[in-house]
Amino acid sequence: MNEAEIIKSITFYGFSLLILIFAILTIFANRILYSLLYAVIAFFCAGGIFFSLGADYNAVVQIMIYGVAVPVIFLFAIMFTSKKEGKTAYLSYAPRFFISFISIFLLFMLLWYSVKFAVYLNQNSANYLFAKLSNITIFDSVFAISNGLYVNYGLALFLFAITVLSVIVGISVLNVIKENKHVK
Amino acid sequence: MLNNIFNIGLFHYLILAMVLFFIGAFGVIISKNIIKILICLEFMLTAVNINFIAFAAFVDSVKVNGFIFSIFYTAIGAVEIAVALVIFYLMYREKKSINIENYKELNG
Amino acid sequence: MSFFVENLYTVILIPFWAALLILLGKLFAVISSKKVVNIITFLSTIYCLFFAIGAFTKTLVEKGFVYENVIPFLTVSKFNFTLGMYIDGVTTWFLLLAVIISLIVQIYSMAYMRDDLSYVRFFAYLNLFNFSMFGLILAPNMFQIYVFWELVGVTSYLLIGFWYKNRSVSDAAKRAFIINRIGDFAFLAGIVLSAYIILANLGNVSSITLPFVEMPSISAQIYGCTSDGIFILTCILLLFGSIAKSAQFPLHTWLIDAMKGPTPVSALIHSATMVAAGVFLLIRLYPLYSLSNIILNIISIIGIVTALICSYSALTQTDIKKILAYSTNAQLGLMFLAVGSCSATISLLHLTSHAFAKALLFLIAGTVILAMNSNQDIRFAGGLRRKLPVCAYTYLVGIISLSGLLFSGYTSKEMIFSSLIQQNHYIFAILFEVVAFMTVYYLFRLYFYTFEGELVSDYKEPKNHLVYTPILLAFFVVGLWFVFPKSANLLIILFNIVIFVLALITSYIAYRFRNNIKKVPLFYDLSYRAFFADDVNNFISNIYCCLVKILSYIEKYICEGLSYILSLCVRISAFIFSKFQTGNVQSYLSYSLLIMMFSFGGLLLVYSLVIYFSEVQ
Repeated sequence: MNEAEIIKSITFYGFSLLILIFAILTIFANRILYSLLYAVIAFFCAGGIFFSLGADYNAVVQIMIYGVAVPVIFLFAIMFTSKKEGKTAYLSYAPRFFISFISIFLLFMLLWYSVKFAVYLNQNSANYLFAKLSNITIFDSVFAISNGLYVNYGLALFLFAITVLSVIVGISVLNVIKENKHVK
Repeated sequence: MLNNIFNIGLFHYLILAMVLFFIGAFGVIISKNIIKILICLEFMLTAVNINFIAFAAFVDSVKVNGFIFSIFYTAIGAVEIAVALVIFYLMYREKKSINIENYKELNG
Repeated sequence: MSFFVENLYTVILIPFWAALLILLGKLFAVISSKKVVNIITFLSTIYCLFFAIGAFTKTLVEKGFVYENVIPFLTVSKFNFTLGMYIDGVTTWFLLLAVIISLIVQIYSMAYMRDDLSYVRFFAYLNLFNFSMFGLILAPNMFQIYVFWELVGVTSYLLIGFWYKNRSVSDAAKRAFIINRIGDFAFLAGIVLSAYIILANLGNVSSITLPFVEMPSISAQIYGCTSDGIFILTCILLLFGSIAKSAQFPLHTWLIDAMKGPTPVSALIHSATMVAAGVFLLIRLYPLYSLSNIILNIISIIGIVTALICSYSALTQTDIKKILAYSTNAQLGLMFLAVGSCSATISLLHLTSHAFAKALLFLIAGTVILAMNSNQDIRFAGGLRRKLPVCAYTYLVGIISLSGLLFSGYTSKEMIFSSLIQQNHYIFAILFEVVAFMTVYYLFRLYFYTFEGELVSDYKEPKNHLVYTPILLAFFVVGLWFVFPKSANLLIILFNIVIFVLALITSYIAYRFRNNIKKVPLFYDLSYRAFFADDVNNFISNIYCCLVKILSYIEKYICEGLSYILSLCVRISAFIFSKFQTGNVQSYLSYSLLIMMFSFGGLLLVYSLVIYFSEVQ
C-alpha cells in the first residue's frame, strides 16, 4: 500500500460517503429548500469524485451545471410554487414504499453478485479492469476533451446545440399557448 | 481484504454509482413533493454520469470518448430538468398543488 | 379402339364437369329449364357410353389386354400417390354395365322426378355419382380406390337423403353413411397396414398403394413376408370395406335404410352399381384373398349368412322396396359366396345378371309406387296387371331371371351351383338352394300381391315414359343370356325347375289363403324384423348414448365447474390487480423496479446455472 493509493482511497471514500449521506438527507429533509441545499452539496461531491477519476473538465462542468445552474432553476420553481402545502407533501408510505424498498434491496444484491460473478467468470479481463489505473494528467485530459469536442465530435456538438435551442424555443411556445388558453 | 478495500478500482465506482442510482430511484418513488422528485431524478442522472466517467477512466484511457459523452449527458440532463420544471409549472397552474397525490390522471 | 382406351379417363371427368355445370348453372340462375339439365346429363352419359363400348371392344378383341396410365397426384417425401386408370377385362365390363344402367335410370328419372322441386339438384347428384363410380372402377391403385370409395359413399348419402326435409329420411341417410364409414375406416386401416407391410418388408416405395398391375406378384410377396395372423388381419380389414359397401352380414342394415331415397336412386345405386362396388373390390383383390383358404372361407360364410338372413327377412315384408332391398342384399351375399367358393369371373357374371334384373325390378317398383299414389305397402296394391300389363310382364322377366329359371339369371345361378358342387362345398350348395327357394317365394309373393287379384287402392295412370323404359333393361336381361357362357347340365336344370315350381306353388298358396294363415309368433317376428338387426343396432347405439350421457354429465358438472373456477380466479385476480392501478406514476415506477428485479434475477439464475453446468462438465 503506497501513499498514492491511500490518498486515492481517502478521497474516494470521503466524497462517496458525503454523496450518499447528503442524497439520503435530500430525500428525508422535511423542507424542500433544505433538500435542495443537501442536493447541491451532493452534486459538488460528485464533482470531487470526477476529480479523483482524472476527469477534471467533467468535474468543472458538473459543478457549474448541477451545482449552480440547475439549483437556481429549482429555486425559481420553489419560489413560484411555495405555499403551505409544501410541508404536508412530504413522503408517502404507500405500498409502493415497501415494494420499491424490497426490490431495490434485492436488485442491489443481485448486481453486486453479478459483478462478483463477472470477476469470477473472467479473471483476466477483471484483472485488466481493476488493475489498470489511469495515468492521465490534467492537461492531457483538457487537451483531449477539447480536441474530442471540437474536432472529433464537432458535428455532434452542433446537433446538440440545435436540439437544446429547439427545446428552449419549444418550452417558450408551450408556455405561450398555455397562457393564451388560460386567458380564454 | 484490507488491500481490496484500499485498492480503489472500477468496482468501487460502479458500486457507488449503483447505490446513488438506487437512492435516487427510491426518492423518486416515495417523495410526494414534485420538486423533490425532480431533484432525485438528478441524482439518478449523476449516478449514470459517474458510471460513464469511471468506465472511461479505467477502460478507455487513451481516447477519452467517455468524458466527452459525459459532458453531453450532463448538458442534456440540465435541459431535461428545465423542460421538466416547465411542464411542472404548467401542471401547477391547473391544479395549484405540488403534491403528486393530486395528479392521478393516469388511471383511465 | 386404342383411342378410346387411351382417353378413357375422360369418362371420369365429363360427369364431374356435367355435375359442376348443372350446379353452377343453377347457382347463377343460368340453367332454369329442365330440358337443359336433361341434355347435359344425357350427353355426358352418352359420351361415357361410347367410350365404355370402345374400351370394351378393345378388351374383347385382345384377350388379357391390360393398360395402365397414371399421373402423380400427391408426393410426400419419397411416396408417390398416383391417380389414373387401369384397364382390363373386368374394368371395361363393369364400366359398361354401370354406364348402361346409369343411362337407363337417368332416362327413367327424367320422367320420374319431373314434378320434383329439386329436379336440377337430383341430376347434379346423379352426375356426381357417375363421376365417383367411374373413378372407382378405373382406379389403378388402392389410393384412388379409397378416394372414390369415399366419394361414392358421400354421393350415396346425398341421394338417400335427397328429400332431406323429411326427418326419417335424413336420419336414414345418416345411418347409412355412418355404417358405411365404419367399414371405410377398417378399409383404410387395411390399406395402411398393407402399405406398411410392403414398405417394411419389401422396401418397395413405388407399390405401397397396391397398384393392380402388379397385384399378383405383390400379393404373393405380402403373403411371403407376413405371418398368417397378420396376413389374415390385413385381408379382413380390407374385406370390411367390401362388407360395408355391399351391405354384408354385420353391417347389412344400412341398405334397408337406403330405400328411403328416390326409387331411381335405389335402382341405380343401391341395387346395381354402388353396392356391387364391394364385389368389384373383392374381384380386384382376388389375387390377395385367394392366397389364404381361411379368407376365402370367411368371404363365403359372410356371403351365405347374409343371403340366408336377408332372404328370410324378405319373406314377410310388406313394403315393396324393402322386399327388393332384402333381395338385393341376399344376391350380394351370393356374389360373395361366388367369390369365396367359386371364382371371380362367376361372381362378376352373377353381378351383371343381378344388376340388370334388379334395376329392372326397382324401376317397375317405382312405377307401381307412382301408380298407387306413393303407397309402398303391397297389401294395398293389387290387380295392377290389368292396368299396367307391360310392367307386369317385364316384371315377370325380371323375377324369372332372378329366380334362375331362364335368361341371364339362370346362367349365373347355374354356374355358381355347379361350381359349388364341383368344389365339394355341399353345405354351401344346399344353403344356396334354400336361398334360391326363398328368392322365388318372395319375388312371386310380391308379384301376386301387386299385380294379381282385385285393385285395392286408388290408381293413378303413370306416364308412358316410366312404363316403357324398363323394357330396355329387360332386353339386356334376356340378351345377356345369349352372351354368357353356357354349360347345360340336365340334372341341374331339372333340379332348378323343381325348386322353382315348389316355391311358386308355396308362394301361390300363401297368397291365396293370406287371410287365413296364422302368423307363427317367433318365426314371423324374426323374419319381419330382420333378425332384430335394428334392435341390435339400437342396443349398440343405446350403449353409446349412455356413454354420451355420462360424458355430458362430466362435461356439465366437472368441466363447467373447472371453467367456472378458472373464471373466478380470473375475476379475483382482476379485482386484485385493478387495485394496483392507482394512477400514480410512482407506483408504476415501483412495479417496473420489481419487474426489473425479477427479470434480472431470473436471467442471472439461468446464466449462472448454465455456466455452472458447463463448468461441471
